[in-house]
Amino acid sequence: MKFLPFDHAIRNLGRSPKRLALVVAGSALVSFLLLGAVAFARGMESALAATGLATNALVLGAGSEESVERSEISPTTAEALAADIDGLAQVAGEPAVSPEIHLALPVSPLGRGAELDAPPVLVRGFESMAFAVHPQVRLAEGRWPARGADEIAAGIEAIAKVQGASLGSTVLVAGEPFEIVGVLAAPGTAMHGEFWMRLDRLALLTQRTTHSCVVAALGDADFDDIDAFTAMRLDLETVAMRESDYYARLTEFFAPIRMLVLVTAILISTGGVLGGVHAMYAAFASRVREAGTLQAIGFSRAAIAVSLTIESTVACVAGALLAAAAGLLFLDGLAIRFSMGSFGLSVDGPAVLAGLSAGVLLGLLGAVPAILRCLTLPIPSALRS
Amino acid sequence: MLTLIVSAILLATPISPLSSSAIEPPKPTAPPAAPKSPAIPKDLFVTEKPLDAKPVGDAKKVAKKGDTVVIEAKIGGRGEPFVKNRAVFMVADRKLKSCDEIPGDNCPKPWDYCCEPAESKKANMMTVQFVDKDGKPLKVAAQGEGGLEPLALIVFEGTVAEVDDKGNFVVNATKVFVEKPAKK
Repeated sequence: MKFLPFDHAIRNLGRSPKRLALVVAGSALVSFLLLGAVAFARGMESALAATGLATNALVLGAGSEESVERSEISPTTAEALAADIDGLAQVAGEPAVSPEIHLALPVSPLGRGAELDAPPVLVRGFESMAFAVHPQVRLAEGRWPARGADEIAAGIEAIAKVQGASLGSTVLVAGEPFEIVGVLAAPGTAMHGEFWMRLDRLALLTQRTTHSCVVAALGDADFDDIDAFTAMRLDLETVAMRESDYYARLTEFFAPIRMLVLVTAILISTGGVLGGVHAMYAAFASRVREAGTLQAIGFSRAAIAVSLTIESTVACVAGALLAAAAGLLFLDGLAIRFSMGSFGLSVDGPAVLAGLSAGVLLGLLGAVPAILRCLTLPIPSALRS
Repeated sequence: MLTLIVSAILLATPISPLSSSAIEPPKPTAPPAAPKSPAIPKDLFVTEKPLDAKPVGDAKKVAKKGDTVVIEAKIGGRGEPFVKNRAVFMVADRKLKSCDEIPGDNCPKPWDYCCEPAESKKANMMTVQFVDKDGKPLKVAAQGEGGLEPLALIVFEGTVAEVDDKGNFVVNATKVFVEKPAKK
């Protein structure tokens, strides 16, 4: 079969710059939306995976395996665990066992009304051993809150959630004022968007006598011994799981949200697809006579179809490449804040691949109606059109 | 894993001429014995029901550390009553209603006794373990052994290892009779 030269298809692209722009823009929109949806899913998955370590055991209330925020355990659990389990990681001769409270509380700027209606942000009550079990966290600025003081440390993304908040400013947490004395950084994890407060102060603030969980760095200890500990200490009413398993479950829990984002992106991009297909159809429909002429001088319908497909695909891939560039420039790392903390959109290989694939598919499929319109007419009819 | 890789390399490495005799071919040696994985002794499971069994709740009230007890129970107490890789599991007094006994309850893990009040669970649940000669739980899962499954009715005999007034009660089982296997 004799094919049309490749540059024939490329040169044809410039015949109608407005239509070309429309096709490229439509393809870019579709690719950008899909790339964004995949970046959202990938970012959420990687942030939750990075938050939980497989080398940590999480002990939380029996029946609250799905949500540490719902969990309530005795404050004696950490001490009992440290005393009972051999081989836990040690820091300065002490077992790395961190009792914590996790609560979603309304945090708002000082001086605004309706403080209790502010969107909830995850506030974590911590003790010093928290830094041993969460090595992803570091102090970026300021200092850590003092015990018993009305002080709080804020994740970089947590600060961004509260308008006007900055190091040294005061925010209202559940209606009570707290000074931000430190900024914590835990890039790539959900903790990047949390507020951290001393355990005793958070317990006082929320008037609770229980903790949410205990996180223990395993070191040389065997996780199964901790699981057995929870089975034997019926008085504590706890269960154990690896911290990574907890966050893996959380990732599963958020799967419908990721699916919703993807479906929404597909629905919105359908508009872009239809626009692109329509523009291509219009562009090719006006070239029915050209197609007839090419057939008359000896090119087969298949060769013309291939040329039109190349033309369409090149235009759409150009749009997809623009979308990928825009995604890498503007979306990658963009923080999405939610009640559990925050995560950054991840424009990685699979996300770029999804965007480019959308462009290629649009180019291949979008050309089909136009090709059918151009090449189904008999040559005499095409030449007269 | 690293040990395995190193062992594999060492085994695969030909013995150097300096260390091997040029005259006598090296005698074949038996491969080093693999460490025995712990297993639950088969004779622990008996075919005759131990006599004079007490319900869990009653036994908890009177037993002291070191006592020999015979207890009848149902396996369950939380979502995962068996500890993975440890011969430790939880059982409940048969008078407690597991979710499968409550009409209309479609709980996916009926052995977790989620409908029972916390105080009732504390008073009527306990832990059973199979231990080695040092008194440590065997490093093997008990689930599936001799018919041990969630909701199975068992009668067991053993020695009280731990008991306190907070509700903790651990028995080192020496005989287990599976009276009624769990429904499939």
